[in-house]
Amino acid sequence: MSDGENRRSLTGWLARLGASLRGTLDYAELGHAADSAVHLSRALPLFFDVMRTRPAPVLVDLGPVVGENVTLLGDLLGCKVHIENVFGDLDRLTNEGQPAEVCADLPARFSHPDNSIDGVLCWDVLDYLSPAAAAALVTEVARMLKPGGVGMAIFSTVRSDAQPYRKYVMVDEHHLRHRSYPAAQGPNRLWSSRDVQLLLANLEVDESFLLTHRQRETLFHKPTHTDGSR
Amino acid sequence: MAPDAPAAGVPYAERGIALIGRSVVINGELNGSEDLTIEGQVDGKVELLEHSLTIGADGRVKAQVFAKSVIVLGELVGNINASERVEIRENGSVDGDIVAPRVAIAEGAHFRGSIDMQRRAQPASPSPMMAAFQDLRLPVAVGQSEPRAGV
Repeated sequence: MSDGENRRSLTGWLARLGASLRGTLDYAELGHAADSAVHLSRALPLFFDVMRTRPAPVLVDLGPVVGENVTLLGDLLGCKVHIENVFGDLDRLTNEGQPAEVCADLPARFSHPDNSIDGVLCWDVLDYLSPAAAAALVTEVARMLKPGGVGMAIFSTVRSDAQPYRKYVMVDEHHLRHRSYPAAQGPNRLWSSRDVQLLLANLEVDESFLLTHRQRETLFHKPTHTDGSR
Repeated sequence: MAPDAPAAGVPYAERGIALIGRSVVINGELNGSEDLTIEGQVDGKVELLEHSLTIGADGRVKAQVFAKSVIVLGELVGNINASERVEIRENGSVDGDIVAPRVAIAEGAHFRGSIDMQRRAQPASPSPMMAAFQDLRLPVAVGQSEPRAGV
């Protein structure tokens, strides 16, 4: 074996070892600040895999704009991203004493045509909505997604001591930085596996990962046939 | 690479950058062939196709913007179409849709709209002569074989 082949072989082995270790540990604490830890994501690479199969994908991000995410999505996917910031509306309405209004506004809020969106990121919204508003939002997601279109959601399963609102920043396509912010209200509820299944009943859940930092990452898609078969 | 925001202390003219000052209000269409910084108020349309637009911290722009690159430190309401890059700095605010191959949004910036970073294939723009040849559907040249159906 030549020197070059040896080096390539060693590099590959180290990369495989690293990936294996990350898989064993389930998440990597790359960050040190309590409110900005970096965690391995299991669903995000799958989301990217699906988006890469689509030419010029169109995405909707239901959370606030995160510059790092926009840059990475542009670099890796060359996509179009609609920033909807539903949480921004909820925060404003909560400050005005009318958090329930966000639910009433949801159907009229999204102008995207039916079956027009390839991917939806709803990872920093659903925790904060009432059950009725979360259901209304998922109905809109199902309407907007193309058949076969994919969504990624994150659900909290335990209370956190961090500041009430949490954004997810893509460090790369395998890691998310969890960054906390002050907000008018914290998570509205914690989600059991059953709650998630009921919420996404009109969609098909492909993968659901309960991670060691007690969040559930869920990847789902809109069935390609109306009867739900694929 | 996009130019940096104007450094304090160096006159704009010396850096070859046109400036719309704080007290200036423009309603209408702005075209230019040099870099431009807006610290005042502009309503209408801004077109600097080969150049950069900087909306300074005091700039208030309500316009459709076409430029090579755009840096926003102030407020912009309207759509941006940039051939190279759009940057929204901390405290910058954009309400509108962005079309650009690269977009950078700083923490603390405000943005509402869509961001289109789709890689568009270079439009196949054959020269007029090539287009004419294609339209003529010239017979296959001597020495070339015409592809057969099913091959």
